[in-house]
Amino acid sequence: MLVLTRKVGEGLVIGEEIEITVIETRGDSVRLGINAPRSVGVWRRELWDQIREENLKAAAQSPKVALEKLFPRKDDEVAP
Amino acid sequence: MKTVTTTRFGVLSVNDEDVLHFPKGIPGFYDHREWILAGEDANPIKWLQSLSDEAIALPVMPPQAVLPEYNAKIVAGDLEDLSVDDDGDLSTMAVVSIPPDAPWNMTANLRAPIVVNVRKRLAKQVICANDEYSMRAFVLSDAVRASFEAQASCAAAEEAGAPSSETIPPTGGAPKDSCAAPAGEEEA
Repeated sequence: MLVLTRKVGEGLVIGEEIEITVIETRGDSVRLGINAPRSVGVWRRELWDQIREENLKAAAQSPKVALEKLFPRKDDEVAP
Repeated sequence: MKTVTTTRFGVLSVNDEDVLHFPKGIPGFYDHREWILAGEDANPIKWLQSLSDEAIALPVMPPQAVLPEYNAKIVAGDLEDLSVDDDGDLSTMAVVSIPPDAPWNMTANLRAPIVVNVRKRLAKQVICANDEYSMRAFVLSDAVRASFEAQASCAAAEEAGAPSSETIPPTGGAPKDSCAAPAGEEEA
């Protein structure tokens, strides 16, 4: 991993279109400003970690019941 | 056509055009690039079955079945990855998490839909820009979940009371009636 030291007000540029600026530091928090084209998704890292965990959990679970029983059946509506 | 052995569905016949290609894998399963959709018509939940590991299958369902007005805003870069040139080619699936001991509390990940370019069979799990969408949205309504919950606690109570059931209680049918709330009906 590339490691750089920056001061408040300084920034860095990734490629030609992505710019990150250090706006403020307070305690162990750093506020960053990000300029990126709308085509690039910028997300907090935890969001991806959470998706990964949800996927792993979803794949590991094996329900004992027949799931279709949990949904109202279409022919219930026609039944008298 | 080839045959694929799966833990959940046994042996499946797979045509090349059935395969969904995830060039970047799926978070948690980055090495799994090829998946197929398996399941039964009667069941709104289908399974994304990995072709890399017979034991790995992810339950999925249409997000519109959870939220009828569902409309994911997908960033342009993700659409480029899917080579989308016509929005009509897009289809979305939400990954479903099903607690084994209380399946009625299943939740769908509406924030990170799997987006498929149906025509090109290209797919990717993305984060949509709708931060109002939950990663754990309940699939079933509160009323339906409460009804299943009540049934389950009744069943558990009956099971716990089983040893004494040899002696017929004078009010024989009563406890059963109190547990007979039908599952599908929503009460106001």
